[in-house]
Amino acid sequence: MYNTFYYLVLFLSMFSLFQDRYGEFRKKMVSEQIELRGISDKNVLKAMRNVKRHFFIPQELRNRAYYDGPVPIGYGQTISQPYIVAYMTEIIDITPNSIVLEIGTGSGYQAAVLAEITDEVYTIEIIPELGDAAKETFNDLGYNHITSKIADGYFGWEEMGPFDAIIVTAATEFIPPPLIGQLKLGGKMVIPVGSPMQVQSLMLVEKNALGKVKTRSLFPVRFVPFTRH
Amino acid sequence: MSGLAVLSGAVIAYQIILMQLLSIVQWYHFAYMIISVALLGFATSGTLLVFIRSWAVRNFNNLMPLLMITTGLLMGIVVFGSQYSGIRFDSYLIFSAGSQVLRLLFTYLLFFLPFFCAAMAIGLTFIKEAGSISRLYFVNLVGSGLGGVLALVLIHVADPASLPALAGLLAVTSGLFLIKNRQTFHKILGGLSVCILLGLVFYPPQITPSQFKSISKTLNLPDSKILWQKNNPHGFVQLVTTPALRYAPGISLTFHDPVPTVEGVFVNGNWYGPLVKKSGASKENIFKYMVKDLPYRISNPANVLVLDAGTGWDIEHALVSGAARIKAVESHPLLPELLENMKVDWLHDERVSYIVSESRSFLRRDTLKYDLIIIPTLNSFGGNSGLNALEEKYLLTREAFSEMWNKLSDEGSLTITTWMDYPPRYPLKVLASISGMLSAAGVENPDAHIIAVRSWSTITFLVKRLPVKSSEIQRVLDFCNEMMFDAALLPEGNAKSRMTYNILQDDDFFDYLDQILSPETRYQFLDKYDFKITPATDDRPYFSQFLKLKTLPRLTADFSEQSLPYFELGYLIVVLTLSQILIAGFVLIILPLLKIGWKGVNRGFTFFYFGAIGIGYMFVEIVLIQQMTLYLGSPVYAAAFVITLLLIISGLGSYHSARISAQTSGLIKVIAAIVLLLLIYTFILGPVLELTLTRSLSVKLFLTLIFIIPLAFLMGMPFPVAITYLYSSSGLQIPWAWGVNGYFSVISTVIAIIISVEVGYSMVMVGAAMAYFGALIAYVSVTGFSKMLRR
Repeated sequence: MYNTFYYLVLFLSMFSLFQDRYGEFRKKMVSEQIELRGISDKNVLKAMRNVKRHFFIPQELRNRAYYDGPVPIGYGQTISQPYIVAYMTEIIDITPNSIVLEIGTGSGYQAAVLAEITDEVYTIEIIPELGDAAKETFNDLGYNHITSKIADGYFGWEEMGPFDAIIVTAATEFIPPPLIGQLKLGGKMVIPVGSPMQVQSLMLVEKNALGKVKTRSLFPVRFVPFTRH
Repeated sequence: MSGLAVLSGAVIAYQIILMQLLSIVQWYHFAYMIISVALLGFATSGTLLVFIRSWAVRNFNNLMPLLMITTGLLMGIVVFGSQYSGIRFDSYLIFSAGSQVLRLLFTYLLFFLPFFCAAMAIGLTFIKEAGSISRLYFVNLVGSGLGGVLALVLIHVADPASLPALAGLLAVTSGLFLIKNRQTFHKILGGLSVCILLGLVFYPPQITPSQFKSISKTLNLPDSKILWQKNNPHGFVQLVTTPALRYAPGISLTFHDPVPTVEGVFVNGNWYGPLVKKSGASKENIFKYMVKDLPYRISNPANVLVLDAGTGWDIEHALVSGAARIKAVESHPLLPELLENMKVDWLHDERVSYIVSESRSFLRRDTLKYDLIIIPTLNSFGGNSGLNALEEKYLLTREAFSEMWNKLSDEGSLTITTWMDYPPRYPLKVLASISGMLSAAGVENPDAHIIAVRSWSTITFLVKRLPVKSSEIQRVLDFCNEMMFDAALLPEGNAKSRMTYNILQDDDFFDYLDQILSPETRYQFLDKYDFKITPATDDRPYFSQFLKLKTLPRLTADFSEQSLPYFELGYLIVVLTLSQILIAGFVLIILPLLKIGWKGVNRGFTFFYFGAIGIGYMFVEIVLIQQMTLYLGSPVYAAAFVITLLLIISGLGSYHSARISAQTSGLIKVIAAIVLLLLIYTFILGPVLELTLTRSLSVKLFLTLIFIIPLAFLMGMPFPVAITYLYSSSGLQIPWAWGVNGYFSVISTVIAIIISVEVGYSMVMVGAAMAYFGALIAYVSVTGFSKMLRR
């Protein structure tokens, strides 16, 4: 019995050490990749510290979970670079009462980050394998207030709208008209623009109080060319 | 001899087949890599033969069929081995995952195996029958040339996944003929190989494109299926249907109607265009809400020319906008068949002429003028990481723009749309090209002729032959306000607010546009900008190549090392491949030879001479393929034609070289003639081809023969004559000659690409001339020029 107890303690110690390792990586990720780059919203920083990013990544790639870049998750999709996730979360300016829609659940990481801030997160994924895997991860990690479905994101989620914010992570060459319709007055939509493995800019769509929309291209990393000097 | 010819043909056919397969699986055909890995196989075999020469010659009859059969078997199976998930490399991930670099190396080494075995067989034959080297080299080259033709035939008739096994069957057959009665093991191996390969032909394993390619992502959508597919050397065409695919690039945010679903056409797994089957109200509506509607908002062009028309999106747009006559030019010969099969209604619209031709060739021979010329949309949503950096785009060169300008009617205009990117590259290069075109045409105030309108994701440029009128300016402004677009460029500074609806965080973009537009500041800006945005030329037709090596340190500081590959993935992979090839070649070819020591006389000669002719031959091949691509109008057929012709005629030259004694000045004269021809071609080949571009295909083929035959004939001689010289003086150097020649051939393919990207193809030709001159010096110094002249 003593031996059993000994091995149990040893196992738990190793396990927590292992988990601590990821915890340390996560803290370092937030301080070096996110805070240092200008993300200052306390809710966003807290969310990024809380969400265990490594659980949203395939087992064989978990050693890269807190790496400063995107990681492939299969089906031609990636989990976005942590900084981009934080940037997008900050830019849509959500509060605990916000209703948020995400088009393109992917790994589910973005939805989890949003769920740390607000209680109503809706997420749509068109690829069943990805959507199901993300849902399982939400359940495992206790994100019970994320509502997900497998569907064509083009149509948005009308019955749950309108939304204070919409994040469209599924690559699209146009902004689906239904999504603009489901955005509240004063709401914000953000669309990452980039190649499969790198987001280079973000498109922010803002709907004012009169229902007019404007777009704004945001560049998370500023280019300073020679010609400026 | 016949076995050698068949094996040689199988090797070349396999190279071309691999290029096609890589085009489907990755984003690029990696031709330079395939040629390099093949040559690496040849060079390594030369090194190995140094060690096992005596044993190999003694066991010639056993080894030859074994090597040939193994070659064939490996050809069939390594391609599928390279698809195994533990090995398969994905070019999209190459700079984000260190393991991908290793996977690239593994893939490289896998493909190396069949070439190595084939080269062992060929090299062994050369060694055993070295006295007949000229005849053998002739058979080798002629067989290789015919292999190129065979590959094209096979690509037309067979499924891509079956092609490697077909090439393998050819190689196995060459071995079967050599099996003697007593060689039971060989018979069993041969029989088994045939069975396996036939199995792979009729039940080929799946070739899976990268998960990041458009077709892979589309096939992940619900209820997706491939409706139609067919292969040909221009590319593997597939039509995919899924209820979740929609197409409305950069459509205005004021568009509230449903976006209709489309079927998608893919070539080699890359998005080619949506299939527009039936005209309808929804489609008519969509076009009005796109920035590309700009030309139709300010005028009513009657005669429209659509270049690289693809699946017909711009044709449909012109039809619904009221064009009276539309000429559409498309280079892929399978497109008309696809469109017919899918019963596309506009194909038989009397207003539309759909012509299969390469666009530049068409521009040269067509005599009509047009009210509107449409160039297809450039780049893609969010960019493509610089994957197209190595793609030659002859429609976007300075010369092409001038040709298009000259085809405009008096009130005609040219329109080109590109996706926005960050940092700005495509829109700036387009404007630089347009401005350069206007300057060349003698237009003093280019800003009076150019309009640019920007949506949230795309920008459309319109260049008018005449200065833009005030009424047109007003129509543009009305269009912008209606659609929530922004006028980025308008004459007379009428673009007062360039960011009313679509704000750019970094508005320096407009300052860049202004600097490019102004003749006073343009050249300085182009020179100083961190990316290469000077217009592409026919000599350097890489429109999508933006990297300036000298600004790499600064880009790294701004964006960090991890981001850089995403700007110029295509070009950086070439550099990575060169590094791997340099090391692999050194390890496999040179190092083993160093281990045994480099003994004997004429070492310097062997190194410099054979290295130089290796470089020279490959440089010439690369340049000729490039020149003929534009001339003959098809890159695939140009490559096959040039390679086949070069190899066959060089083979004839090799055969004839038996009459040249290495002890006379004959070879000196041959090499001197090569150098002279190359220098002449550097200056006259381009202009002659340009002058005769409008001639019929038969005339052009004849002229191609005139240019290639004398050069190729002469180029077939230096190698065998010098081998004969070494054979007579010291056979010890022959493996080194083979190895050195192979190593430099291997690396020169990649170096040729880099030189052509950086300074143009002409310099590659000059490089070839210098290489042969170096060979001449080496030969003269070892044989003594004055002694040669006396004989």
